[in-house]
Amino acid sequence: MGTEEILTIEMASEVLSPENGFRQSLTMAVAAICLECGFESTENIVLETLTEMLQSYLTEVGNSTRAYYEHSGRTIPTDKDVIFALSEMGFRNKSLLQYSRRGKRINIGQIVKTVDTSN
Amino acid sequence: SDANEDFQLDRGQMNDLLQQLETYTPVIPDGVARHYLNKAGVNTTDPAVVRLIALASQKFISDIVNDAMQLNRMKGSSQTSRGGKKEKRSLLTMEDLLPSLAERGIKVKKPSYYP
Repeated sequence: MGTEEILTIEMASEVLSPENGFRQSLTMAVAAICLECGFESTENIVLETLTEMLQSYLTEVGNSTRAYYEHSGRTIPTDKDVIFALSEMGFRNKSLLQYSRRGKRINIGQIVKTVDTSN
Repeated sequence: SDANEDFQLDRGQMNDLLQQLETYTPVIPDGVARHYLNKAGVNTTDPAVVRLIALASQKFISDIVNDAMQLNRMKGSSQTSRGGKKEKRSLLTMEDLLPSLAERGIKVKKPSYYP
């Protein structure tokens, strides 16, 4: 089979740590996105690259959002802060509406409804 | 600027989106997205904020992969399998991904030791 893997996620390491688990969830997310776009398999390195990018992007949007709400003297973000942060990063917000309405959606191996553990 | 206005949500659309996010589950689970946000110093328990960011990140990756898909299709690369029978199995390779990343100004260097 060579370098290709049919959307099997190779566990980067067998060490059980929460960080690893979060990372694996991101890999699952990337795999689902690839599947949704019509790819049935990916190279390992592609999966890894996209996971890294997804993680960076999440972190970056977070940082940018934090800059916005802290700058205006608040401690809790609102959705507007996120929208501002995204548009500053060159993200076209309007496309989100269309995107969230798209027909084809794929979920693989994840909890359908996440329980809010925050309170 | 005016050009930018076309890409931004207005208030009504924003409310629409937030309403959809209440029932919509992005591929990135809430808990995972919240973990990375907390790591970035964002103090939030608001599911709308978390899901908005998760959805945006999902779209970011989705756009890249979609571009790679277009490229893959253009090359007309219906790979022939070992059995000789032609089948349309689409494999996302780094080769497809790189141009779509380059378009966004992202340069990826393949580490020489990567298997």
